[in-house]
Amino acid sequence: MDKFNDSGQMLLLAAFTIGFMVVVSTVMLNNIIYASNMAAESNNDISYFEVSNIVRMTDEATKAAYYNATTGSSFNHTVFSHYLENYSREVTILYAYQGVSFSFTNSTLYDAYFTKNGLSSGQEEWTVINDVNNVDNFTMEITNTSNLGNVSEPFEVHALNQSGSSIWFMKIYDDGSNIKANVSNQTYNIDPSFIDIKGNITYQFDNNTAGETYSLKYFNSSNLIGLYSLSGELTTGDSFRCDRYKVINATTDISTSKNKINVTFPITVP
Amino acid sequence: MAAMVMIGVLIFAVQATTITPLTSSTANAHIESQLYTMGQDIVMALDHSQYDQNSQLKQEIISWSGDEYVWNGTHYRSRTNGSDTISGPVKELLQQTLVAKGIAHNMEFTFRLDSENTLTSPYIYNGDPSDNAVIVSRKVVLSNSDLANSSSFENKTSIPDMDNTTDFYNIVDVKLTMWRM
Repeated sequence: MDKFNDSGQMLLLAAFTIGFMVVVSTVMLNNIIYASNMAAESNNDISYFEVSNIVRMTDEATKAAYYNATTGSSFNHTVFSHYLENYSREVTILYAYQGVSFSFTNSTLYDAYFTKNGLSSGQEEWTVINDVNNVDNFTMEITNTSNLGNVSEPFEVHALNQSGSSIWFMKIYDDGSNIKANVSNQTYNIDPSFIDIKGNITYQFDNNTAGETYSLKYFNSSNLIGLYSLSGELTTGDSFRCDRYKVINATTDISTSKNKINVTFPITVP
Repeated sequence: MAAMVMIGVLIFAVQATTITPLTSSTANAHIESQLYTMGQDIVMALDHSQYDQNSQLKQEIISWSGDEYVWNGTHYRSRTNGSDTISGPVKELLQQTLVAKGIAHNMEFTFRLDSENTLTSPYIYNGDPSDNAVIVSRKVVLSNSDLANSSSFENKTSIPDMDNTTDFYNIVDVKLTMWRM
């Protein structure tokens, strides 16, 4: 009788053991299957990465549209609009494949401030370019002088050498009756509609920057509205071109089933 | 006897649970997330440009011969022309990041052919990806002004001009697929 009782206990124990092992195995396999089926990007609905890609594409497309619209003649608004319409249509279709709705609108072109992003509220003190070996062309056209400060608060452009010291500067201000430029402590009356910094030897840009590696930096740049054109060669031997003619506000709406993002950002052209 | 069985079960349970849930090696969600971040960083760095110059990624598309390239241990070599290899920043970056870490990768260009059809062409192909591969994509806008000769470019790459009225050319979706071997 005792022998049968022992067998019963063993059977019961074996049943519990098998049951426990099944539970453990199931939990373990479930975890493995869950982990391997979790797509890494599943929680990124519209990621910063996609938004940055859209901003980058739109910036390039707007610049290319402006270039296309100004090639050969004055600004052709029809070409500019058609280019951006085609761009918008193609991007919309590409994102539709990913289940993302995309739309794009742009404002009209308007005169840019000399700030970093072209807006009056933009960063006033900023480096236009670093590691310059020489400059081929550097011109400015001030289309609106109403924002110019007085002698105590001028717009300034400096050429800074690698230790950060100013090797050449120009300060532009309104003294109440004339627009003046102070270049390396010499003051001149200037025509704000065209300032040829490189070409006008009076400003001695080449003399002061020859043989130096330098950067060009703007200060109080919200004082100036207009355009600038700068080109030359970097110390790497690569050529560079930095032009600022106009600014445009681009607005993109990106939406999925989960959320919606509306981004407006300024684009300077060309 | 019963005590032996119970101890055996406990050892099994402890051993089983220590290898779950996140030690599934290449299938691990964290590994995928890490690859995804690395891929984003790679294509963002390649898509950077300044001072009115083309990004390296755009330059790679513009100078593409239309061939498919395979990593042979030292170079990405064309399947059709053994002397044709990829050189420049894209090759160097992929070599220093993905190849150096033993991460297999493909790169494809996807673009629209017309109003209805889309084509995906392999640029770098190193085999079929595993089930846990990660794809990162970066779209690049092409304009006629980017291309020296648009008809020659179309003949080589099959990427068509989607707009004949303006300089808008096409948008290429660069897809980087990465997976652990």
